[in-house]
Amino acid sequence: MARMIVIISAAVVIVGLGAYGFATVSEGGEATHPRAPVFEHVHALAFDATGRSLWLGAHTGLYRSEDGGQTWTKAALPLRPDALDVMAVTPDPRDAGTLYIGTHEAGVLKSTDGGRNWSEVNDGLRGRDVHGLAIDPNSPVKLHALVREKGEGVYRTTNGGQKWARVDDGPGGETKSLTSVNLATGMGGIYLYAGTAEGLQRNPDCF
Amino acid sequence: MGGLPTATVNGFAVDPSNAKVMHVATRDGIFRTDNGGWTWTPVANGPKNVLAVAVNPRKPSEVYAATMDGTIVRSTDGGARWSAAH
Repeated sequence: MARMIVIISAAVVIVGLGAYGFATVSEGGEATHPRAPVFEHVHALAFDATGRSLWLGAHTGLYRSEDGGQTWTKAALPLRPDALDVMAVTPDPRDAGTLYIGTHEAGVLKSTDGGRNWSEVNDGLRGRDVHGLAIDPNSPVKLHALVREKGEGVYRTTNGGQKWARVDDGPGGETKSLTSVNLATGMGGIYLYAGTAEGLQRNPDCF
Repeated sequence: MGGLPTATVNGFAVDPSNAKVMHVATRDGIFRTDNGGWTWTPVANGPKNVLAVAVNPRKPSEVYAATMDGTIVRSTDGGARWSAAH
């Protein structure tokens, strides 16, 4: 992909030109197309229950688009507003106001007002480096979180994050995503799919 | 999971109206299955270096993806064809 750098009034604008048109990133000053913020590295992308809000988790935080990805607004997160690395974004599939995020540094955060206010929901998690967060489409108060490093493993909550319990060692390889998929296992549960450095893995969630 | 590369899977999304339809984001592009993962098909002429993918729950034919350089791309036909979202 070809790149060019344009300097406008001391603002540095990086314009990527390629098969998909152009995306503009601006930082400081005015830019001609100040539409996309600096994500640095995108970890997650998810729609809310209404299909109107598109959430994006990135190394530089949490972003929301209301116009199909044309413009983005950075969400104000507590704890480390400028530095939270958002690894997973998991909207409640039935309630557009409820959203969970998994972070690299601060565990799981929950919002019940569409991302305006956040609270930590980490009781029972033995680590805070959350790389995957899956919500059960049949029972959205049931979630699974994948923790790396300290306290490594898969944790389950059945009350919307009020309390977590470790239930499994988790998939092999570095996990990039964790998703509950509404396919019956035949054992009374559904499947958890994990995107990992060793490919796509799945396991019944009834462990 | 025939047809899916064993390399790193960066992102994953499932159609909430039909869980057998799934999308996977990889360095080599986007792969799609409509049979619960028994066979996967790479998206022809789709974006490369894909980090994340999402399905609109109210309009599952609308699929979004993010690439390594921050580009957001969109498909309106369930992931067959892609174009820039911005």
